[in-house]
Amino acid sequence: MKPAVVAVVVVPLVAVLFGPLIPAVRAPELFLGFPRLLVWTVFWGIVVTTVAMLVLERIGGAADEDEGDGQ
Amino acid sequence: MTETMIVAIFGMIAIGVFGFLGRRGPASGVAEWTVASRKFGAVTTFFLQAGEVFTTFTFLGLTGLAYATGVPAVYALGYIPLQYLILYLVAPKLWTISRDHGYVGQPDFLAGQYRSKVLGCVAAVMGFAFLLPYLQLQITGLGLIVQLATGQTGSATLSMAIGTLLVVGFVMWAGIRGVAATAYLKDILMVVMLAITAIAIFVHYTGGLGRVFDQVADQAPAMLGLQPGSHDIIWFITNLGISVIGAGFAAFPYTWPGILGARSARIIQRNFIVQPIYALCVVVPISIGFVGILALDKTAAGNGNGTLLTLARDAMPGWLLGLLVVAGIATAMVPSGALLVAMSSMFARNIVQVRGDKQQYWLGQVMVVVTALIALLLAIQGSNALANLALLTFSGLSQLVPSIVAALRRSGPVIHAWSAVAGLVAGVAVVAMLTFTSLSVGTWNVGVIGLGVNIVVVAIVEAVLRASRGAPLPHQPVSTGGVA
Repeated sequence: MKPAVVAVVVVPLVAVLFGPLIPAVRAPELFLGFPRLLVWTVFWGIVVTTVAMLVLERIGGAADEDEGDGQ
Repeated sequence: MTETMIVAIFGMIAIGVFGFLGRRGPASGVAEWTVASRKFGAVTTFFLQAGEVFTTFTFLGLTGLAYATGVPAVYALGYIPLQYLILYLVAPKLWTISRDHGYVGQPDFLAGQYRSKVLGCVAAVMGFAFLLPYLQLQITGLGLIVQLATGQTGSATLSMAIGTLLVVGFVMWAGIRGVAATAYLKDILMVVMLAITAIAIFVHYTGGLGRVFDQVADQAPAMLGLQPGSHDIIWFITNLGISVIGAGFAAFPYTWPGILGARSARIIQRNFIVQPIYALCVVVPISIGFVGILALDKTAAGNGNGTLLTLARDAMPGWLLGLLVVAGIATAMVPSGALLVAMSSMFARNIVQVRGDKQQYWLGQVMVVVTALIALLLAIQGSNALANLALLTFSGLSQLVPSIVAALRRSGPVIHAWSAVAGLVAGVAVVAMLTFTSLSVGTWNVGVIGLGVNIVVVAIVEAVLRASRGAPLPHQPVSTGGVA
């Protein structure tokens, strides 16, 4: 697996998994009207993860087209 | 009989009819029945995979978790999209290898790649054992939904029996195609009803979503952060971690038909790119749990699983509540169908290992009835601790991850079958011991600890095997027949 592919996958994984270790993320306070941990998880887990997969499409994470046509 | 109950029963029948209509013709064999001969297009694959987001755990358990603990429930919002990121890379390999060798499920994959029927059987037995409580969970959830909405205890048993009967019927008739047809109905209904319910609940109790968290900040600020206690940082990270690892590496056998049934690997990948956006819907049940913190006293919603329906009962008219109940029932019936397809086929092909496609197909049909009946009886007698049951299933099945990861090469696995078996047994033994004895590991998820032991045992056994007898690796996986 290419190092770039690994990096693209690891960044959102680490951010979501270990973000709560940052006191400001797990603090019982609101950011933009929502709990901070909720905002953090939506940003890294949904926004960045979606972007990461779009990047993978570009840099070679996509399966070969000829792996299709399973019939 | 209340109007809610009438709508619920008609809804259940409608879901069942959709399932029956899914069939395209007589099933030609196990491959058609379990993975639709690998002919599903992008839309069907999307709904099959998206359908795994909204189960009774999401509908009842997650709302209850948010009500009981607050922000720790956000872990679900983290693991659902992250699993797709891993699956984006892993699923095409699973699909391609399975197509090349004719595998129709996870135990098939392991048995064929490792050339070990023992490993396939062990994986199937573990899968069956851990999925049975998950199936029970879905049926229990179905009964609980109807009971909470109607307020009648007797309605739970009746609805569980009707729902199970319908699922058994359409699964036997149409297999995975029946599950796919109901998945369309379920997800469209679920999204629409969740939006309506959210608006009704937010407006009725807090004056709008924007005010929910402001009011929680005033009345129960501790619920907005991770606090020391039973749902602390360690709980959050380890539960999120084991869920990402387990789901990302396809450790849950009921997700395999959704992957293997696709027409191509690219269809699967493109679906995974949009799935995280769909997972944003999970914010709604979590937010409704926070409304429960404000509006319910701690005895009103029991263990928390009744939060959503208890709130909805006072905020919506009976007929609309009935439609919400139908959506909730669908979150139980559709995953139940997928579970029955996976469990019955793995029983016939990998546990009993009957020879011949027709014999496997008919034994699978019998097992649909037997498995559903056992789960229904357990549900009628069992507990309602939804979230804990689901976590136990995830922890146990996640022990399959090392075996799957080591077998992702087309040319064969990188470890011996006995190393995989030893690690799997050790991991599951640790999960069972920590779950059912008084040994305390604090707030760590037992699946993470089991996985650690699992990997160490795999490494030790593999080192011993290589050093003692230089045993060759099974470089050439075997085909198991079926669809090429």
